[in-house]
Amino acid sequence: MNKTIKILLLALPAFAVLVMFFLVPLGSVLVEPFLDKGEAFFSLWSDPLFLKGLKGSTLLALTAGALSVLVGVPVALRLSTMKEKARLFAMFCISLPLTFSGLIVAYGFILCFGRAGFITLLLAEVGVSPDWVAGLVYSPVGLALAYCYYLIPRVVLLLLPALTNFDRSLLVAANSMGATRLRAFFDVLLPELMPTIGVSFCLVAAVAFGAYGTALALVGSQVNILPLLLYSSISDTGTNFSQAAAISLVLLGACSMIMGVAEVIAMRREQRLKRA
Amino acid sequence: MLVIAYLVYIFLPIALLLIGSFGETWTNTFLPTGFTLRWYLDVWNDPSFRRAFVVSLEVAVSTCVIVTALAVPLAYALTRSMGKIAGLTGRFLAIMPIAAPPAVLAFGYILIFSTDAMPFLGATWLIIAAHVVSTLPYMFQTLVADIRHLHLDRLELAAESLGASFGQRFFHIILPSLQHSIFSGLVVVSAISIGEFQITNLIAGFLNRTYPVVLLQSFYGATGFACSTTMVLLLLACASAAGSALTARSASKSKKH
Repeated sequence: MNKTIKILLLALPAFAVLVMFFLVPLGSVLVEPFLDKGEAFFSLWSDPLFLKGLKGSTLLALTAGALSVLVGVPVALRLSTMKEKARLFAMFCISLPLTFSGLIVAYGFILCFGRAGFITLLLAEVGVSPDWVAGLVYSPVGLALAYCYYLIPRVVLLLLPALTNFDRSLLVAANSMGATRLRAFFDVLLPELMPTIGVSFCLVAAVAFGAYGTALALVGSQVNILPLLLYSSISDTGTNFSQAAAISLVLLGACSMIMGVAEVIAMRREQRLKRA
Repeated sequence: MLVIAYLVYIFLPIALLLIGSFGETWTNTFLPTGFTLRWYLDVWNDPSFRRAFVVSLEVAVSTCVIVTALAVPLAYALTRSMGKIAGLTGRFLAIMPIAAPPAVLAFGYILIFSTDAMPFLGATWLIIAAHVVSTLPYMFQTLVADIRHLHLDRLELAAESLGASFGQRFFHIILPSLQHSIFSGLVVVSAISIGEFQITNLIAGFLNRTYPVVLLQSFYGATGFACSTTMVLLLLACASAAGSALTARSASKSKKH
């Protein structure tokens, strides 16, 4: 038998499963809005609930992305300079949340920041109103804080290889030529890290845009974000499939687009490395 | 300092869950009052949680077996040849779990598998299929990285030149060399499968809801009960994380020798 065909046969079962249980279901979601000639899709853009959801999701994705990068970069930097044993231990702790279900995070956050949460009560001691804290946590910005719990580890894990591959003597050189440590960081290290930071921002933002589990457990379906809107139009009584399909289209489009941007950044970086 | 502050952020919710699961009552106080094992006994005696736990294990084990059976040949084939297709498939697998939000994929399942031709919605095997599709990319990436790192193609070429058949090469070279990465991939796969909520919640039937799906109901009840049900899931996740740390260690040791 031809060798290429033999190898193709090995990949076939996995391809078949991916087509049947990934591409076909997604395809059916994509086709659905065209069945009514896009009527549901176009009426979406004058639906205040949808627009509010779109705004909430965008805010959530941007906040989660920015927060995860802002925390993830310094943590990764600090980790890359640690001794191997301490680093391995810290890495273990940090990647722990990656294996957690979003529900664990949700209930943990209720215990911390809920109306009678540990931190909420602690802040109340110094005069911060518990209603304000709880109100913040149950808003899209607060949700971002909860999402960060399992998004920051992703950023750290993506950044660490880039940091350990970075030639530190460049920083020493910059210092010896009179640059302050801050200056060396912004002029030497940061430009080098920028592509990886961009990729991790996109990845994290896309996850935050599309996820609904943690939000559902934290606030129920009351908060205005798109995946929850989709969830309620599927699962509530009076199921509205054409609306669900239209929202799905928007979600799928947005998340694929964000991931597409990440791909472009990653590809450009690879090409630059090849040339160098 | 920064790392320590970050570790506090990670461990405070976990610590509170642990304390809460042993606390008798917890309303409007910093910490619960009283010590009790009652909540864990309640979980143990709750038939719906027991059933959900068993379903979750069944689904996770089946997912692990199927993902291994699919991903090993796939990773082998794509690293062996197929040039452009291999590159595209690799990219596709890297993006797909995030580019397609879980709620959208679940909606696709509802559309396709509740038709007259395919009335499978609510079947346990469909949950397994969904878990397989969402975990396959992670196993695939682990395997591909390892195949490239170990330069398996050279080993195989050597064996081939000595007259080893494909079957001999696959079972005596490929599989044994990949056992560490298969195992560490399985740790991730089982962790995702056990914790998966977003797809399963929408496609499970009433009798085959998995543990996380049933867990959500407990959030609306007593704090202690909710803490202990969550702790069960948390312990499973920690066990898999510890498993992955141990394999990583033994793998790095065996490579040094």
